[in-house]
Amino acid sequence: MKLIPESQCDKSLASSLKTFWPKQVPGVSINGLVLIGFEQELFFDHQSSTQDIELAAQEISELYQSLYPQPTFVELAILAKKRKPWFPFERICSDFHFNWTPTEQALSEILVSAPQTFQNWCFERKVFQGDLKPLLLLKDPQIFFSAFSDFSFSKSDGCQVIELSVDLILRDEKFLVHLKSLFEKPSDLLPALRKLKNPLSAKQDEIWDQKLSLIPNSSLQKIRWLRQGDQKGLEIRFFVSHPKDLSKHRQALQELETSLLDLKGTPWKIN
Amino acid sequence: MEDQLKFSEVFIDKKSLGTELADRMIRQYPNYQVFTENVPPAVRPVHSEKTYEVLGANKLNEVARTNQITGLYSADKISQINETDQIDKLDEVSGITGTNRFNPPDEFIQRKSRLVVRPFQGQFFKRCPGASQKKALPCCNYYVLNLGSGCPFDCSYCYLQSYLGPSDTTIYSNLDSAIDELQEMADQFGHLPYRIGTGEIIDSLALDPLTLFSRNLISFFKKYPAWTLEFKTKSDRVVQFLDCEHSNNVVVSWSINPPSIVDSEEHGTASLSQRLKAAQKCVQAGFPVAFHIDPMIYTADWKENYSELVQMVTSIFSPSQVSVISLGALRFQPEQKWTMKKRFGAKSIVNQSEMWPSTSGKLRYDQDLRSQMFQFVIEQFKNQSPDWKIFLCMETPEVWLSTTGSFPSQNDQIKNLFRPLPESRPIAQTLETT
Repeated sequence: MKLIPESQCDKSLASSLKTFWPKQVPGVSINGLVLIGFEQELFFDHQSSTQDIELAAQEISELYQSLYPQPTFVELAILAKKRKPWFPFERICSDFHFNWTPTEQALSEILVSAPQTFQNWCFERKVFQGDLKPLLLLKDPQIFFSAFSDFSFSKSDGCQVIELSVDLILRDEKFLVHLKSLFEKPSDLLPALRKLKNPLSAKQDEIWDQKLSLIPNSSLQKIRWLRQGDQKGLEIRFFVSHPKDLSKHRQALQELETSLLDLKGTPWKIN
Repeated sequence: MEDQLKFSEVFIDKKSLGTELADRMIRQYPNYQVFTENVPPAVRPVHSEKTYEVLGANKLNEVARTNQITGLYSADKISQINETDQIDKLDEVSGITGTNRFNPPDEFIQRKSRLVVRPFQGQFFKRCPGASQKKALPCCNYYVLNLGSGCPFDCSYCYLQSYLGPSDTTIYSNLDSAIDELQEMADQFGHLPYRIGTGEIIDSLALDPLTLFSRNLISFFKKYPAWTLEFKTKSDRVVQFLDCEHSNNVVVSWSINPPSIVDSEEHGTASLSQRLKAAQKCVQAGFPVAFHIDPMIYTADWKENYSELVQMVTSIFSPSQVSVISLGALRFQPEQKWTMKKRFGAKSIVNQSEMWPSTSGKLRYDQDLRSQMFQFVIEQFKNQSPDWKIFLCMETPEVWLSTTGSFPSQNDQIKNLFRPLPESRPIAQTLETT
């Protein structure tokens, strides 16, 4: 490896992703192509000493793996898109046991042309290809990206936003206009999307919320209508500071049971 | 239906040559190709961007299904199909510019229309996938005998889409080995009431006029009257075995759904009335029949749909002619939903369903809705006669209880099905995917 100045480097792999690299250490490049430390002025440049293509690919792959021990999908997507023809991308994927199929290729193309906020979200939340697959169903994924100016969800919420939004766009492209207005209040977005995607269940849940409001409030217990997978039910919470509190709760639970059984149209079977 | 016996390519493994099955295939498909180790790979069809633009992916897939043509998307083949005005527009297509990135041609349809005949090296005889979920689902002791894999039909909800992926329609040429496995089991447990079906990863009868496996199996099962053999199908192909002598232990069963669901979701299959007519033929020939109303599919008018279905069944058959009716609701592995959406569009009925993750890992309708749907159908049957024997397939104990008020082991009409049976040796279980 020799030290080369910025002027001799190719920074085409640079992106907005906030990949950490210490300021005091020169960046790293291969044949002048910068891999990491894009902000630096000096670079440790690797130039293969062998004519053997296989061996050279192995060296590059080992170097890449040492710099990116767990690359995110978005990092691989950028690499796939912007790499030079000599860069052994397939070898790197293979060494990571990553199967780069036409699906990954198609997803990487979508991701590379996605807004930076979305790319950063994929990077920070370590979002992988499986989470992004819904986007493949859109004829033009950019219409999804056009709906938001910021994408700052948790990984789980963000993945659900993608899945539900794509589903609703596929049903009706006009939904996009609606989606844009929903993105204006991100905290309300996911519940709104769930409601739109599952109107029957949402209606059922509303009815149940109304029914529960008819039950006299208990100061001892907190009750809420809850969905767990394919089942719905009541979550009842109470706090006990002394074993004797349990008697009070037993009494309150009995009263609750009577109230619930009296409610008309209950889904449970009364024997 | 007739198209199901047409294949774009037929491949016969060299090791299968000389078998009765291969001889029959060679007569039927003179353009067959012989392979030695691996089946030649399918050449991915391509279509032009223009073709896609004109027709859209759904229309292209629909045409592919109707015409059973592979490579459909190549411009020259498309121009041969003069079905609709829309397709006429394809004359404008000049040359092929590559596949559409987001809606590639349907590989499933292409692969289904390739028929492969080869010996099977693994175990033919397996437990039903439900048996591997005994903790979550009551088990009805069903066994499966796989004599091929891949189905020529193209149901939108089919679990083979995620279980097998795009795959050739394959028939195993070493039926003798399968019979040997059965014999080994029969030698030890021939007196116990085992139920064995052949329709798990291939339709039992869709290709039977070609293979005539039914005749061999009926002949074997004749020696073991305690055992039950079930052919499960969505075809109407039964005449090839109706003359076979049997011990009243061969049940011919149909997966059925209301006509509107058959039309929209069960592509390439026999219509409901064709299936029921075939079932009538079986009854007339002395074969017990069964019906699987599975998967029940929710629509806004599901009550009318399933009421019509029950009416059609009960107007033709009496409870004594039908050994059992099973009910199941739409379910599939989570990863399958994207394949379904890609292949059948977001507007298809199954893709609009409200599905939730269940304890078995599959996506299902809400438990209350399932229970409501089952209760409705059971009530419709029982209103006609209390003698209909009905059970739930791959359902949780909670749904059994809320639907029928009891567990299957407590129900006199069906409890025998759920009584555990011994196993002679470790029997492989299929993946938990149905």
